[in-house]
Amino acid sequence: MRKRFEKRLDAELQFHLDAAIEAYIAEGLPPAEARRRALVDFGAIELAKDEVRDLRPLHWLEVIGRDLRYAVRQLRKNPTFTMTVLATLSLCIGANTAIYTIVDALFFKPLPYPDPSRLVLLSTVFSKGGAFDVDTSQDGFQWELVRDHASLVDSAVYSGAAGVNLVAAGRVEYVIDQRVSANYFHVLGIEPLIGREFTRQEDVPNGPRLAILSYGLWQRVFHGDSTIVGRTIDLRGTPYTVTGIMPPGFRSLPAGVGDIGTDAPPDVWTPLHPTHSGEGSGDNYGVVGRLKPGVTAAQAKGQLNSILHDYFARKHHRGMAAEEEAIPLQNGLTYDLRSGVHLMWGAALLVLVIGCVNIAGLMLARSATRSREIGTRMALGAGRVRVISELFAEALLLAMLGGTLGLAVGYGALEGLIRLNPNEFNMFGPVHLGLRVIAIMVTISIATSILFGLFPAFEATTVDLRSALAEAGRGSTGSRRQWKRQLLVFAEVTLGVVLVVAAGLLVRTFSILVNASPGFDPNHVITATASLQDARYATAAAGARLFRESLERVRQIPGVESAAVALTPPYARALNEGVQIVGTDKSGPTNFTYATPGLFETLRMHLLQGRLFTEADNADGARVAVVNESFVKRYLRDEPNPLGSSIRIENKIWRIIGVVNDVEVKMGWGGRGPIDRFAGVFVPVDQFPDGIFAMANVWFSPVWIVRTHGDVPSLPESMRHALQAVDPRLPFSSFQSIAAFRGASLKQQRYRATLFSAFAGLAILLCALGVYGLIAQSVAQRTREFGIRLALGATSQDLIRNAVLPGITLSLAGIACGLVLSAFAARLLKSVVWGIAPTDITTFVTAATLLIIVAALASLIPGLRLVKLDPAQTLRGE
Amino acid sequence: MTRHELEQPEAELLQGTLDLLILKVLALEPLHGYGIMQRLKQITHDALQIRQGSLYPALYRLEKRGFLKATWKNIAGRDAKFYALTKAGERKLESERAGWERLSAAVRLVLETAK
Repeated sequence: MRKRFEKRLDAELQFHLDAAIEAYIAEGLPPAEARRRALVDFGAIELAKDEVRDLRPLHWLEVIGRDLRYAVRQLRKNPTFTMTVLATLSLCIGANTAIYTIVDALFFKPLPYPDPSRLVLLSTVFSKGGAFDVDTSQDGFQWELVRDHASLVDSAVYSGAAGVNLVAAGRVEYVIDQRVSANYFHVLGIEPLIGREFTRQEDVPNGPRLAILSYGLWQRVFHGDSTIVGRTIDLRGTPYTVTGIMPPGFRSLPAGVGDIGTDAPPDVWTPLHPTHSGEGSGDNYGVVGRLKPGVTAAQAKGQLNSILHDYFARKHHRGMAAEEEAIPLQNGLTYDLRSGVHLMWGAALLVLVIGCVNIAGLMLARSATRSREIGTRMALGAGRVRVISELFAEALLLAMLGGTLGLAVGYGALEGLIRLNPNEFNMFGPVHLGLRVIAIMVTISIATSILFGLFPAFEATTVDLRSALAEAGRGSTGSRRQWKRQLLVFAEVTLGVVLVVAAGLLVRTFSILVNASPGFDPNHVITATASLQDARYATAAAGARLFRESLERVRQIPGVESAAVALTPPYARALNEGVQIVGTDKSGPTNFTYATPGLFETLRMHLLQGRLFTEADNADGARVAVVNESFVKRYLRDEPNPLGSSIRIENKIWRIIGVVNDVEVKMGWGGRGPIDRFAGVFVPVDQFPDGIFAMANVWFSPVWIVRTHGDVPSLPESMRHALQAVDPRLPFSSFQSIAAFRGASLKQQRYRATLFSAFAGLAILLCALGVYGLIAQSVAQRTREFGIRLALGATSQDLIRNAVLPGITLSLAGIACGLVLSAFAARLLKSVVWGIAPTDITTFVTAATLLIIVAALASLIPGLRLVKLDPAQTLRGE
Repeated sequence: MTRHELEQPEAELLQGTLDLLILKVLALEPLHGYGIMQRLKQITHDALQIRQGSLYPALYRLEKRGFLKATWKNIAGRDAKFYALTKAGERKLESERAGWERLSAAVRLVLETAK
């Protein structure tokens, strides 16, 4: 099409010229003169053609193509610039792609249920003064009131998930069970693929034992046999009737109710049988609701509060006002993650800003070095629009390349990030890089490049042609533009300091927690859990017998030094029980655990007073308890001797026989740190009350703790045999070193420290590039000046000092400013910093030192080039 | 361009009036580019200085806007592109002419009263 257009245009103009020549010949001029005259009359043919071409349809596409080709040439001519911009863009876009994908998946992407905006989580908001706290856990009384009277919300209860034993097809399996009430799947809007969910009549205390299978379990264990619906399966040691199969891809609500149980996706659902006694007497339920058609959250809230008015009035809330809210389900489920993820998002955006500043600096530098080229072209008649459009094409090209690379980097970073904290990030299903995020990132990339690419372009095209041509190459005009670059580098260093300080605080937090003395000897300790959420272990006596017999066999395994069982291992919380010191008015919460004899010895905890459990502390003996140091500090400080004091838990009296040292526990409630010491009570498993024994085993899976002499690779296999010999239908679920528990309890601190370190590293790199670029450019521009000075007798040391000092001074100013800014920013980190103050001096000083070193190196490297400066050559250069 | 050709002062073409002249010339009969040029010279007795190169962008622009339509005709063995006024072109000529007359009347008024 373009060829045809050109041919026709040529033909038309040729006709014009021929006609004109013929006319001159007819006037009597010789042909050569006639031709010359005709051409002169016409004027610049090519210019006319160009003007005509501009009018051609789709001409703009061609212009873009031409500009892009020109841009490619320009970028290839200057690989250092190109690579630096691309690296900056791709790293910044990459980091933001990964983080934003997670932010999007957790907070913005609609939940995977029909009409998710109508789903709510019923929550109690406690407030006192201006402070408030949202509690998404509810108790049985609340639930019964809501179920029976809240007509504006269709609601259901769910609880935490835990491991249970499934015996099927001659195999025992440890599967994840989530207990849910009738109507749960209906409220979420996902019906079973086959069969039905539990009915209200079935979901009552002591109701029938029913099960709904996940699609995955159905395929894996029952090979997709649909006749399983209506038949019974062996779950928790008794028969359960299967009523339905959920469709593939169904995602249950994350079962983090009250921070107990597992956050792994459930394999099977069983009826919750909600009540207001036992489990239901505490805040152990999550209540999910769907607003009825036409009902607003405000209307639902009004009704809920009138229903719950008397309940709140009766319940003691430590002087806080309580109000029921129907908060959007997504907000409710992600409530606890919000501050942490926002912090991470903020850091990513900060990196992006630093990256933008860096790119702006690079572009500015480039327009300075190119002002001569641009000046020449403008002098030769290139229009301003033309030059800007070329610079624009260049910026666009960089944006596209950088954006694409950034998405690739982001894809990889996302994988790594999810691996750091999979269950939390994959809360609503596996997180993938989506089109929405890609579109946003491409937009950011283009906006960044164009904004920061074009403002230097305008700058460059407003240059005074004469001065640009005369001086740009010799380079002492830089100063006008130089101060802008200096400002950018200053800003970059300032923001960089903030990120480095933040990373430092989080790394120190993590290292303090990791290096904290755990209160026991974690080396050579292996743990294994098994689910006692089993009809055959409804009593403490049955459990105690299992523990005793299996431990006898485990202790026989070669290489095993000692072994014991406890409700939960160190680092994990146990039952939150109210305790009262007999004979005083002291009462409060405690971490309540059962243990077999040998637990403290196996963990090598220290006995501080009294004695430890023996086999004689059994069901027939007097009730005894071992407490820890924190317990003594909190409740028995005024007692002359803790031994002999008695405590009341679950309406039973226990006499304290020993005091042990504290071990680190992740409490997850009560506003404690990530891991900390907390008042704890241990009692012998034989003496544990039957009622809470069964309940505790629903929430937690007891753990076998084994200490070995060195490595015993065959230990898991031997332990499986030992347990099978006692109970062939009871499997161990997982074998973990005790370090893995610590890892799990510190995973948030670990990922935050890792992520912020990566961001800080990026920020340092960008700052270094910024300072380096600034000095390198000034050295390059002032080469001639330096050459003259050298020729006039200056030493190269003088020159280097002269060239390098601005970079260092500038960085020092940036660092000082950054430290002040950090002191404010650190307040935002208050909730995630542990063990040090958010304004920790060591961290601030280290961050500043690190950046000073980086700035000095980044200034010196280009500065040292002056050593090799040959004055004669430099002066001949231009 | 040689000096002696400038004996008679030529009037510079006012910006935007080239379109009007082209439309007017083509209103008489369809012509090719060279023909338009010749006709303009002939009518104005060479009084107007028109850069021939600027004729073609103007023609293409008018064609693109739909005021002219072009056809190729064979003249003495050579292909020539003939331009003719469209209906829209006729209307355009009218409005351009009215505009020009208002302008020149206003300019004349100023020149005559401000003496």
